[in-house]
This record gives sequence, C-alpha cells and structure tokens, in this order.
Amino acid sequence: MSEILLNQVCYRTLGVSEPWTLERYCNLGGYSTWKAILAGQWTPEKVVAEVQASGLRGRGGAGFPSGLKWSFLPQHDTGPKYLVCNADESEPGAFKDRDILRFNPHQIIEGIAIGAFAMHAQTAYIYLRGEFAEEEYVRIELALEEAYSNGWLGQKCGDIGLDLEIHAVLGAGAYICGEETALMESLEGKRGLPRFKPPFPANYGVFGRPTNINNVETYASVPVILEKGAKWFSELGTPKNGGTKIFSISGHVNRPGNYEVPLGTPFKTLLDLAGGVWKNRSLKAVIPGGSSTPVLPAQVALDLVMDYDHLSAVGSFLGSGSIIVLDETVDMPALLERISVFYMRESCGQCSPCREGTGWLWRLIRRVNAGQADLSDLKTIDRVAAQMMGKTICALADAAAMPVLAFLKHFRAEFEQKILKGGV
Amino acid sequence: MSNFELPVEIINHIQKSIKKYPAGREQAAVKSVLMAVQKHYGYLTVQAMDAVAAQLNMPPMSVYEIAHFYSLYRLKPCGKNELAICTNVSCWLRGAEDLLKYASELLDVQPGETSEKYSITLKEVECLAACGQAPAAQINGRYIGPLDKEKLLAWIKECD
Repeated sequence: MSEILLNQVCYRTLGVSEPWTLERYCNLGGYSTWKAILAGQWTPEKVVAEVQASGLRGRGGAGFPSGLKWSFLPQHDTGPKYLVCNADESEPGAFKDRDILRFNPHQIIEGIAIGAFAMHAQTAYIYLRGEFAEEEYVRIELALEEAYSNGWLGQKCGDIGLDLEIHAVLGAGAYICGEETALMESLEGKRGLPRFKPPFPANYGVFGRPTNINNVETYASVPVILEKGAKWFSELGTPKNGGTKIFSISGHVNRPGNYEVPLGTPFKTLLDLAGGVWKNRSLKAVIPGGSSTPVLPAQVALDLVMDYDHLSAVGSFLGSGSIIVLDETVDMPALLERISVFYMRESCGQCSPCREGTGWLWRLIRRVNAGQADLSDLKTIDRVAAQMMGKTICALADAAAMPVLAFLKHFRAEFEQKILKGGV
Repeated sequence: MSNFELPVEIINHIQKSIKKYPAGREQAAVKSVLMAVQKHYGYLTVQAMDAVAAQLNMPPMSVYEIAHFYSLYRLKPCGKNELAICTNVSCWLRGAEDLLKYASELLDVQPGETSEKYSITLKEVECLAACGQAPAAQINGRYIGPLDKEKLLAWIKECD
C-alpha cells in the first residue's frame, strides 16, 4: 500500500465545511459512543479496558499509556473528581491542538465526556492558552453550548442520569502552564508554579482532588477508538505505538502544516507530504518533537521511523510530534541562542538550577555568537546543561538543557568555527 | 479604601465566571476577571485590581502577582492596537526577526513600546502555536500568518 492513511482520527472532520458544528460532527458518526454510554450500553471498566487495548499513549509529549493513567484514579473515593484537558499548546513547533480546537471541537468534548464517565468525574475543565481567546475558545464554547442544549451534558443526562459539567477556561500567557501541575495552579487562580510530585494529580490534582489530565489530541482520539475498536486503532501503528499521531511540520519545508498519519510512518514520507525541503536546498537537521527535543542530523533523520520507541533509540523524543525542519543554510549557534532565550524567559524561577542555568546557557551561547567566547566556554556550556538535568521540580530545566547538549554533540565543529572566527 | 466601584458588566462577569468553580474557590476566576477588566480599561489599574481582590476574597498582593506573572496582562496604558510578532524557532527560520525589525523601524519604537502616532503597541512574543503559518503574528488577538512586510505595512497604514 503506497496510499497513506491521512487525517482519520482527530482530523476526520477536515474535509467538510463548518466542521465545528454538532450536526457535521454527528454526520461522521460523532457522539455515537456518548449516546450509547448515556443509554447504559457501556461500563466505565469496559471503556478503560478498550483505551488500554488501543495502545493510545499521551499525545502531549510524555507518551504515557493513557488507559493505564485512567486506571490510576482512586475508584472508591466518593468525593469530587476532575478531568482536565490540556489545551495550553505552547511548545515551540507545536500547532496541532489548535487545529483540533478549531475544526473538531465536538470530538474533544466527546472524548472528555467519555473519560469523565470512565473515571467517575463530574466536572471537567478545558484549559486553553490565553492567546486562543478569539477563535479557539469561542469554537469550544459554542460546541459546549450545543452539547448542553442536546441534553448530552449537564445534570441527569440520558437513561443513566449522569451528571457532567464541562467548562472552558483561558490561561493568560505563560509557557510553563502547559506543565500539568502548573496548569492546575493556574486553573485555581494562582501563578503557574509547578508542584512537587508526588503526590501525583491522580490523587492530588485540581483543588486538591483526584484529577486526570490529558492533552487535546489524546482525548480527541478516544471517540474514534471506541467507535472503530481498539484493534482497528492499534493496528494502525507499530507495536507499543498504537494508532495515529498528528505531526506538525514547520520550518524549511514547502508545505508546512499538520499531517495526521499512523505512528511508525517514515520521516521521509512526512517530509514528502510537507513538499520536501524548500528552495531546492538540502536537509541539514531535524528537531523531531518540539524545540526541547534533541536535534538530529540529516543522515539520522532520513532513516527515521516516527514513533515513540524509534525516536528514543536515536537519543531523541517524539514529544508532541512537532517536526522542525532545518535546511543547509541554518546557523546552528544562532538558532540555539533563540531556543535558549525562550527557556530563560519562561523559567518560573522556583528552582535555582533552572532559574540560573537557563540564564547561564543563554549568555554563554550569546557569547559564542558575539565572538566573545573561547573554546573552553563550550565545555562550560556542556557542564551547566548537564547540571540542570533532573534537578528541578518540573521538566523545564531538562527542556532547556537537552537541545543545548544535542546541538553541541552533533554540530560542535560549527560552534568551534564560530568561536575561532570571532562570531562570524 | 476609595469608593471606586467596578462597572456592572464586570460584576456580572464575575458572577458568571465563579459558577465554573466549586463554592469557596472564587479565586479561580481571577485570570478571566482581570482580562475583562483589562478589556474595559485598556490596562490593569491598581484600583481595579484591588476591587477584584475584594470581590474574589483574595489578598490584593495575590492579584498583583497574577497580573505580573502572565504575559497577556498590561500594567500600563497601551495603544488601541496590538501587534504581537512571534520570533520563536519556526518563525525565526522564516524571517521573523527581520519582520520585527521592520515593524520596529516603521513604528519607531522598540518591542514592548507603543507608537503614539499609530496607537500600536509592538510586542515580541513566544511561540503562538501557529508555526504552520510562520512567520506568525497576532493583531489585536487575531491570528495572522504568514506575515510579510507588505501586509505589515498595509495594516500599519490603516491604523494611521
């Protein structure tokens, strides 16, 4: 089969006009699972088992098995439980969730509703980044209104008399709020400072109550998994890497955009989908999963199979599936300076290795580009980055350090050249 | 305390927003309420923030913290229009720094400053999740991309 299976799950509405309406979503089979649940045809256990069997893994970047996560919420706790949908898409290079929010909001809502049923939660929050106020938030609010007025959300829904409230809420500009516990702090009306883990959100989440948090794409995959079956979904991908994944391809390609394909699709196929490297130039390197994931040189990237395990095997991560393509002209030290200043600006400042380390990295790299560095500074950069890894409350310090280490590992000669030539 | 009072539409917004959260958790509405206040006054005045604190039963300091922590809040008067240009990786790769420089020259302000002439506040922002349309920007909160010098110039002229 040479025909590639494109946009079958989260983007299945892309071919229709006004895909954000309830009517259009229902025409494609949408809400069939939710209606069956409300009619009493599913049990929570059966939902969790099906999600587990599908092999679905967290699409926000960590790749944790979703069904397993869903089973972590305490079963016998009768107090309030929450579901949160992380729609704070901010990882540089990532723009997949924004298109699900705009073009398939009902599928997100149905996925959250199914999750809430499975985990006995009565309230769910969709936390959208503040920059999504004008369009994405409006779409979600309209979709929620439609679902409520159909009696599919609210009090005593369906034959089973289910209570479920879903609210959309907005952030106000802060990268760190994409981190799950920072998001919860922010949701509670505080600064987005990540919390210590443990306790994990499954036991201590929003308002100190058991909470499940997943990415937009994760929830939005669930309705299709239950409609078509776990087997259908898992067989789309590779072993342990079930289903489809959206790849956001940006940078130096002819057709940047989102492409939803089976996991395990070769990088070359994705690059072809995106029209190849622009301006007839050759490929220099690829950042495979968002700006925090270690960069890979062209020769490694061109042989890549895009799934969680293959990316780990070459020392990088699938992350959020955000592929940034770099052509032969890219000035690697200059690009790294831009990446590093971002993490410095966005560090919340709670942990010293991150607050100080991100600043040190940026200043040292800036020195390389300004022609003020000497070769020993590269060792200092390596050392500072290595000292930041695994020493902080959240992963922002690692996210800042990983690209630095990878740029220096694969493109060290370019940094050395720049230093020797005084910054040119 | 002064006898400053929040306008009725903000009070209504507060009543509506706090319903999303459990009783006793009114503070959760603070981000949304501050955004409504900002829309009304153009920026967050200390007086308004104090009034929000009283409405949501939070210490004023916690409201100031929120206002300083999140990048979408304005703590001083700004232009009627806002131009936010992303210069993060994917946009950087497609010429965003040039665009920002061009905008800065046309408006004769640095990022973070406001051009009085055009009533435009220029901002350099981090990834907007629109890398497929790089270089991406937001004009008054609405996405635009790919942005180029012609489009930028045309919009700035409209603001004159």
